Amino acid sequence: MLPEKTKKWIDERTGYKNFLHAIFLLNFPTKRRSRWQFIWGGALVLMMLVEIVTGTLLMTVYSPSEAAAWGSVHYIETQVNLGWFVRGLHHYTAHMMIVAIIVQIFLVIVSAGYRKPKEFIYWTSLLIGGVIVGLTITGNPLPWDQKGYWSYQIETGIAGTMPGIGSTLRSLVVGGSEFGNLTLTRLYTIHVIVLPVIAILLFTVHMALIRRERLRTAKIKEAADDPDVDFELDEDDPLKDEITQPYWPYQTTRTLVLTLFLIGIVIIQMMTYPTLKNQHVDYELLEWEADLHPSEIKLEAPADSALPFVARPEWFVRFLFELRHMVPKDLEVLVTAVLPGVLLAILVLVPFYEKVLGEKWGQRLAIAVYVGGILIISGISWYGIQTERSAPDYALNRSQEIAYAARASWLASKNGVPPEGPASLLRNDPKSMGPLIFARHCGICHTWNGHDGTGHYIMEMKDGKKVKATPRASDLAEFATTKWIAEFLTNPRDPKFFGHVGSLKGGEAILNGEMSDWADSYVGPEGILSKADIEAVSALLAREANRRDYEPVSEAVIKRGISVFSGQNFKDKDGKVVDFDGYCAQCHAMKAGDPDDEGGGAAPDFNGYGSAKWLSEFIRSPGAEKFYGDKNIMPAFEESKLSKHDLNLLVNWMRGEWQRPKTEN
Amino acid sequence: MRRRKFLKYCTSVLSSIYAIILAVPALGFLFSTLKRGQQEKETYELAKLNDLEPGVPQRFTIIDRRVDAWTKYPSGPIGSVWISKNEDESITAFSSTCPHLGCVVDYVPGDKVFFCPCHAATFESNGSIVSGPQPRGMDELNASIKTIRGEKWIVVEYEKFETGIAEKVSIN
Repeated sequence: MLPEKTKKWIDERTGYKNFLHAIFLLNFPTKRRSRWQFIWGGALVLMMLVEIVTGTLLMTVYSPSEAAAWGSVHYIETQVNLGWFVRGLHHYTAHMMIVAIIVQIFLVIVSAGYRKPKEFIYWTSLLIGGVIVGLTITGNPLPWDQKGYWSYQIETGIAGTMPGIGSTLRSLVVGGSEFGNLTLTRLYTIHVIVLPVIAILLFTVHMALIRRERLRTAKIKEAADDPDVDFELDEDDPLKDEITQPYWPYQTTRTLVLTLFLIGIVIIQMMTYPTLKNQHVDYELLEWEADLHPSEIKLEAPADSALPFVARPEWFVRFLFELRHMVPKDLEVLVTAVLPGVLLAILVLVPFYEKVLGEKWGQRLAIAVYVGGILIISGISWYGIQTERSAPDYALNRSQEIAYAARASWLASKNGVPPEGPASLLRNDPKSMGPLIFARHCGICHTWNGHDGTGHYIMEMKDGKKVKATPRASDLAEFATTKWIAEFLTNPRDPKFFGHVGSLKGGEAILNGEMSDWADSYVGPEGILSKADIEAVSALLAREANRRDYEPVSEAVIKRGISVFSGQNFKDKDGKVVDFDGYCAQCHAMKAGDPDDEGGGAAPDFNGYGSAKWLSEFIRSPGAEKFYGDKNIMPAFEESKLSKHDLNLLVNWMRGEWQRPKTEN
Repeated sequence: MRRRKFLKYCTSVLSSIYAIILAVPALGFLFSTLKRGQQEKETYELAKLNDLEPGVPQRFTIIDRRVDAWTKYPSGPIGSVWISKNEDESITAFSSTCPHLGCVVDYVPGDKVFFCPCHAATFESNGSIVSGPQPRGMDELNASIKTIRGEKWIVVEYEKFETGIAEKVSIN
C-alpha cells in the first residue's frame, strides 16, 4: 500500500514493524493434527470487535430512558438505514459468542490447556466468558420492551435471593428497589463502559500470559532442534509433536474462516428467525388479531407492568429459573445462589483434578463433568421450554403478547411515540385495554363471545373441580348490532341474554318479565311479527348506536321498523294495516321510532341506544330512571370504581372504535 | 513458500469480507440520519391584519407539532417570524433566524433596524444588510392575506434556510 520509503520513515519513528512482528509473526507452536482447534479464541476476539463496532453505532441512536428507550430502538429498526442489520448483528453475535465460549472451554479442557503452566490462561478465559454473559444480561433489557424488562426482573430477582449480599446487589444493579430511569442508565453504563473495560483488561492479561507461554515453548523447541545446544526433549514430551509456525498467515486464515462462518450463521439467523420465531403459536387466537404479521414485529410491546406478559429469562440462565420452580420454597437459595457457586467452583478447580487423580483420569473427569453439566443444563432448559409451551393457556397468552407487540409497533409507526413514553401507546388504545378492563370489571357477570374479553374463561370450583363458571348476565360481543338485537328480540330467555339472570337476586323479574312476555306473545310462529319486522326494528335501533360496522338499510326498512316501534301504520304479513298492541314505544322511549313520544317509560330509554354516550351513562348508573329504574340488578360503576379514562376505553372497545389500518376503512 | 503466499492471499480476501460486513451497515447507519430535521413547507395563520401597527415589525412564534426522531410532540414552538405591515397594507415577513449563524434576530424600535445580538449583524427594516458579518440579507418568507370568517388574516409560509452562505437555500 504505502511506498517502501514512507514505511521506513514511519518505522524509524514508531517501530511498528517490530510491533506487528511481535503480534503476528510470533512462532506459534501448534500440534500438527489439531491446528483448527486453536482458532476459537481468535474468532471470539473478532466477534468482540463486531460487537464493539455495532455497539458504538447503536449508541449513536439509542437513548437510555423509560420514555425514549423503546422508541429509539423501534426507530433503529424501522427508520435507520440497515438499522435492523446492525442491531441484529449486535444481538445475535452476542449469543453466538456464548456458544463459542462453551466450545472454546471444551476444547481447552480436551487439549489440557489448563495444565501447568497454563492455569492462569485458563482462569482468565473463564473470567472473560463470565463478562460476556454479563454483557448479554445487561444488554437484553436495554430496549425496555416487555421481554427485556421481565427477563431482567427475573434475573435480578435471582440475584436478590443470594444470602447476605442479595438485596444490596439487586439494588445496586437496579438502581434502587424499583425499575425505572435509573435502572436503564445504570444498565447502560454497565453495558457500554464497565464490562467492556473489564473485558479488555482481562483480555490483555490473557494475551500476555499466552505470549509468555508460547515464547517459552518456542525457545525450548528451538533449543531442542539446535545441534550446538546440549539439550534433548524426552521421547514422550508433548512438545516433540509440535511444530512452530508464525501466527500470520497460517492461523489468521483459519481464524477468519471460522469467524466468517459463525457470522454467516448469525446473518442467516437474523434473516430467517423473525419469520420463524412465532411459528409454533397460532397468533390470531380469538379477539387477538395482530395489526402486523409477527415476522414484521421488531420488538415486544413497551415495558409496562400493567400489561400481562409471561416472563422468561435468557436461554443460558433458563435452567436456574426452571430449577427454582422444581425445588421446595425453602431450598430456593440452594438453587439460585449455591448451585451457580458450585458450578463455578467445578470449572475453576479443573486444573486441580489432576493433582488428585493423575493426568489421565483428572482430564477424563474434567471432560465428563463439563459435557455432563452442559447436557443436564440443556435438558433442564429444553424441558422447561416444552412445559411452558404445552401449558393450557400458552397459545392464548402468547398470541395476546404478539398482538400487543404488533399493536405498539403499528401505532408507533403511524403516530410516533408520544413524549410521555411508549407505554401510553397501548394504555390509551381501546383495542389493547378494552379486553383487560372488561375482564376486570364486567367479566364477573357478562361474557364476550363466551369468554371474559381476553379469551380466558371465568372458572369456579364445583365438586372440587375447576369448571367453566356459568355467566350471570348477557353476552356483550357485537352489542347493539342489528344481529345482536334481532337475536335478543327473538328469544330474550336465551342463555346468551337473560337466560342466567334468574339466579341473581331480583333477576327473576327480568328473566320472566315483560320483555320475555312480549317475545312469547308477538314473536315466533304464532306471533304477528315476521322475521322481517324483527330485523327492521333491530336495524332502527342499531342505527341509534351507529357502530362502525353498521350497514345502512333502505328507507322502507326503517319505515317498517318505525311502524313496529310506534305501532302506527303497522302492516301484518299480508300487507294489511292492522292494530298492533305490542309496539315498543309503550315502554321504551325513542324519538326516531316514535316522533310523538315525549320520552320516559317503564323500560330503558333508547334515544342514542348503544352510542358511546348512552353506554357510558348506562355503565355509570344502570339504575337511573331512564334505564332499568328499580328493576335494575347491575352494580353502578361510578368514577371511584371505573375511571373516566377506562370507561372511555371500555366503551370504545365494546363499539369496535379504535384506530385501524386504512385498508379496513 | 507457495502455500504461505496462498494463505496470505486468503487472509486479505477474508479480512476484506469481514471489513465489508461491518463497514457497509456502519456507513448506511451513520448517514441515514443526514435527512433528519427537514420539514415540509407549511403555512400558518399568524395574526389578524388589523392587529398590526403599520411600520412596526412584530415577532410571532410558529407553533406546530414537531417530530424529533422517534418522539412526536403534539405542539410546541418550531421557530418565529418578524411580520411588518407596510403603509399600503401589504405584508412583509422575515424568518427571525439570522442568515449568519442562526441566532434569533431582534428588532430595535428606536433605530428601526433588525439586530442580531450574537455578532452584531444589523439589517434595515426591509431586510437588507446595514453592517455586520452576515453573508446575505434577512430571509423573506412568502406571506399573503386570507379572509377567514370575514376577517383578514396574515398567512405565512414558514421554511428554514441554510445559514452562513450568500445564497438563500431552503433546507428541504
